[in-house]
Amino acid sequence: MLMNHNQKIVNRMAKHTLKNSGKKYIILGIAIFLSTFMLFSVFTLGSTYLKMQKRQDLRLQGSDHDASVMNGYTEKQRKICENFKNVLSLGSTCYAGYPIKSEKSENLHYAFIYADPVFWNLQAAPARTSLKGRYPEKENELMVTKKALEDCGMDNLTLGDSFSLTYADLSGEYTKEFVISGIWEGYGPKDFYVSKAFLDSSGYKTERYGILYLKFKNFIITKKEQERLNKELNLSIRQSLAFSGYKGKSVSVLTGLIFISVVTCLSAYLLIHNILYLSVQGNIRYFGLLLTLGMTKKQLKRFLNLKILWVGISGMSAGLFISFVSSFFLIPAASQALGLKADQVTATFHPAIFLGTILLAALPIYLGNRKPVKTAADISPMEALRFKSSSVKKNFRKKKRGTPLWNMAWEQLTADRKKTAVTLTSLTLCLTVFLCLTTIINSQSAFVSTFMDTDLEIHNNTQSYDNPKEWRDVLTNTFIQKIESDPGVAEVNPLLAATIIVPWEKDFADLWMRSMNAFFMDEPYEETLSNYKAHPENYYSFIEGINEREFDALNESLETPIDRESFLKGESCILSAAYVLGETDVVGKNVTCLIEGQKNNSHKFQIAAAISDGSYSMRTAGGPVIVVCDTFIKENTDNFYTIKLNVTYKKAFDETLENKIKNTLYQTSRKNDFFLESKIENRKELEKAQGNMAGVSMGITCILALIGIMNYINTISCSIQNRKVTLAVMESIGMSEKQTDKMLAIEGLLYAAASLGATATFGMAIICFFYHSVNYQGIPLTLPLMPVIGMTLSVCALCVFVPPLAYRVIIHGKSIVERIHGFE
Amino acid sequence: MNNIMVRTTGLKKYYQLGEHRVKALDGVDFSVKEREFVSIIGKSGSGKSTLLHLIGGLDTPTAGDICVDNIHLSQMNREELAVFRRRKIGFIFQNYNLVPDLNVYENITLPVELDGGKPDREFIRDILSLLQLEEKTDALPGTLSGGQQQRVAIARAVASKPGIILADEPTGNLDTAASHDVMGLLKTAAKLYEQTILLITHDYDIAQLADRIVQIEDGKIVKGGEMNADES
Repeated sequence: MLMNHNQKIVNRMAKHTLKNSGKKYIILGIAIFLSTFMLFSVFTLGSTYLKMQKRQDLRLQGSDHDASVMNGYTEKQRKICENFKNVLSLGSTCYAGYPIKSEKSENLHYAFIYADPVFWNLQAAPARTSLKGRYPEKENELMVTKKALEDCGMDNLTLGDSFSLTYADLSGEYTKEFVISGIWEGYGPKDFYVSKAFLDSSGYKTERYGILYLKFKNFIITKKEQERLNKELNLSIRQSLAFSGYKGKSVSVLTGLIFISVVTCLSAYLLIHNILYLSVQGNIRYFGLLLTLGMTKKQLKRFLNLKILWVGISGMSAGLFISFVSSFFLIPAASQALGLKADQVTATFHPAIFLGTILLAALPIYLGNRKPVKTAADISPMEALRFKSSSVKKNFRKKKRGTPLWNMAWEQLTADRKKTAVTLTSLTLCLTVFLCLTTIINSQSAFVSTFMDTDLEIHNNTQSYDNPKEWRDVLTNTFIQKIESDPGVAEVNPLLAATIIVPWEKDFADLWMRSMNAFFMDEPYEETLSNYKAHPENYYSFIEGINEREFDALNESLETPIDRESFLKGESCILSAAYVLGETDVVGKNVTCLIEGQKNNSHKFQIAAAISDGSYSMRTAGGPVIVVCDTFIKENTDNFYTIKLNVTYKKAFDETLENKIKNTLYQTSRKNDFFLESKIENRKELEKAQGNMAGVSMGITCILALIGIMNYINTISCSIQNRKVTLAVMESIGMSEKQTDKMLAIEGLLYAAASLGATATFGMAIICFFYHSVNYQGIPLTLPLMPVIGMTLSVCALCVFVPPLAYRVIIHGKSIVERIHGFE
Repeated sequence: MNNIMVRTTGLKKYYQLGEHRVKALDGVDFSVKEREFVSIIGKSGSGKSTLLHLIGGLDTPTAGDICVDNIHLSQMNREELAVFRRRKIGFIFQNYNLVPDLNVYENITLPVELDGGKPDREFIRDILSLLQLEEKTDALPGTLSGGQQQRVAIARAVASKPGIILADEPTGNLDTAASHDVMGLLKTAAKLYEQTILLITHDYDIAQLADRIVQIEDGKIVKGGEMNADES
């Protein structure tokens, strides 16, 4: 006999079932809608973020490159870069002097830059908005911007016009007539671009003043590849290789978005699978009846697939439409929350995003639907008709200790492990994402605390003036005492400084000056050496004094703490800005210095430690900065200044106290005499930069939470639906409503405990991995206490209250007899 | 002379089915004395199950009064009815209605444990022995035959030592041999533990095992509703 797979009746039946048992399919539709919405939003956000971040970096840098070799490059290094795997383009620029004044302006802050054709035509082109004329070819030609011409006081000049500029190069100062060969507008530094002929005549060499710009073919340059290029280039102490922050940050953001997409797909899959699995289980008898009546397996499969297809198409269409519309205002807010500073962020749409969303949203539907449909189609009619949805698979069970309510609740959790696992996974994923996002947001606030040791740093700004005669002691003893006397202040640590001269000697001083020459100077070392030997005062530097408290804190942070007594006695010192020396170890060497303006002023210190961070660095004329005990400075010099005050408050982030200190400061000094670095201000800045990051995170968490909650409600509802008769029977033999509620609440509590336990173990592992992959600031991982407590309470409340509520809804006020009869 | 265990006065139960009002019970006056075994017979839809459910406190009447062991059910709320059921009534259903997740022993002791009490191990062992279930204490209901499941249901019904056992077609799903086996055990257990039995059946042979047969038709008792004068 030939089988007739008539489709018309199947289509009609599917339509009819959808209409009449819509509740279950509405939940399914909402799940598909939410996952589509989430996927589309996440993809659009990702694509917009990448585009806008790229644009932002391009505009800040003025060129499209991924890495740069700075402070000069050799021809060999250029070749290495050219031949390096994945390099798409290699451009270069070279410093060629600077304009000092024009006929109408003496305040020019520009540089002469030579850009090679690759840089100018390829890498800098995307940052330009307009270009007239051509790149300079002759020595006296310039490529300028309108802004630069305005600053020269010659904004009326145009292409082909000439003007006079006084400029400096390596050989001296000149005044020359330049012709404007081109005018450009765009983003990045507005320097004057010069010709190759000008660069050659200026005396500047690419080996010292050149910059190489590398653009890679690949989006991601692995850490390994970065290290390999660094190694191959064999950079000198002066040179540096920097990779664009855009890619680093983008990788972090992309990792986050991929993680969220995977979690979304997984959550959606779990919910869809669970709904369909439970739906098929509940309808097995019905399918058996259909098979008995002559429906073929193919027709049954079509019957089931059609329903999910229609629900899927509806959910996905709604999700795509709503997310597309909401993208216009959601995406700009979210992009800015992720750190973009662009004023106008517009959502970027791409056909691939639509396609990707549809494919990824369809995947969980397909996977979630496959198994239940197969189960339904594979069952024989007789098996189906005899099928009774029972979670019990065992033959016997030993009596358990404990109260029957707890035992029965536990049985429910362990009876259908697959169903329980799916629900728990869904809840755990939601909790993990929430915890992950709140931990990251919280860590940003912690960053301020880690970044700054003290609450307020007050810097003596006069010390930054080029002319030492303008330096003044604005942080006076009276002022310090006034701050110290405030009951809200925990401690005040002044940093003292006096000018010193470190005369040449063949050991440390020679090493230091040789490194300084290699790092910063253009002349041969022999020349520097002879000048240094003859006039060490021209290479003056500073001795800094710290008090015991600050020394103890500094000493604690050193890899190898130094001898406290020797430091306090003024026998040893700590060398600042040691990065200049590279790998050279100077610990143990002696440094001799002469304190300016003092008689009997020669002092010798043993270098006990060398630090490279900027905490104690100062603008010097070439000599080293050394840190000693403040009592030494007070006892041995009259001409010292307090250059910085580190103030710590008793109460963290005490804004009232800070305002009080600021008022005192404004009363005693001129506003420009100091500058402040405040932990409170830094935190405010960070909060401003974070913008609505918390809002975006909450949005993502809410959608996942909704999916997780729907999954839980669905599982619990189906479980109660299946046990409706059992529960009625238990009531008939004397179980009170309170006891039923208690048993169901215990079931929920067990779900809560299990999902919280899974979050605390597996979830934490995911959080650790994800946190460390995006934590480029190196902030230690700390779980935020309040969100953790809030999350725990919410999950417990949800899990405990849902089952009794679901039970109420399911029994719908029916009497025990009606419920028992309903089954019979 | 035995006391009255169950008394119903003018008991009515009406259901609304669409526009139609169905009179499941229509003024039933009925009483059962202590330790009496009464069979209620009648056709499908005659109201016999409704009567049993009302006496058991599973449903509430439209009108009339039910008094079980001197307790008026109409004065009780749902929580009190639950406690009443677990202490005074033992139910036996046609579909056994055992809790599938609990083993035989746990099913039997459930009403006692729900009442916060500790099961009397000796007593339970006696019941298990009487009902020939000693070997099945750890078995789950799904693995037992119909007759065995109904024996577990009987054990559960007598375990909390209730005054009255309400059995709704307990042999409806069993073959003849198993039916007689179960009824024999039920009768023995009730006698042993001095319990009143109210049995619903449409099997006249089974009904014959009772002390008295009550016939019910269209919601009214047509035969055997009153006890013998000397007994009352």
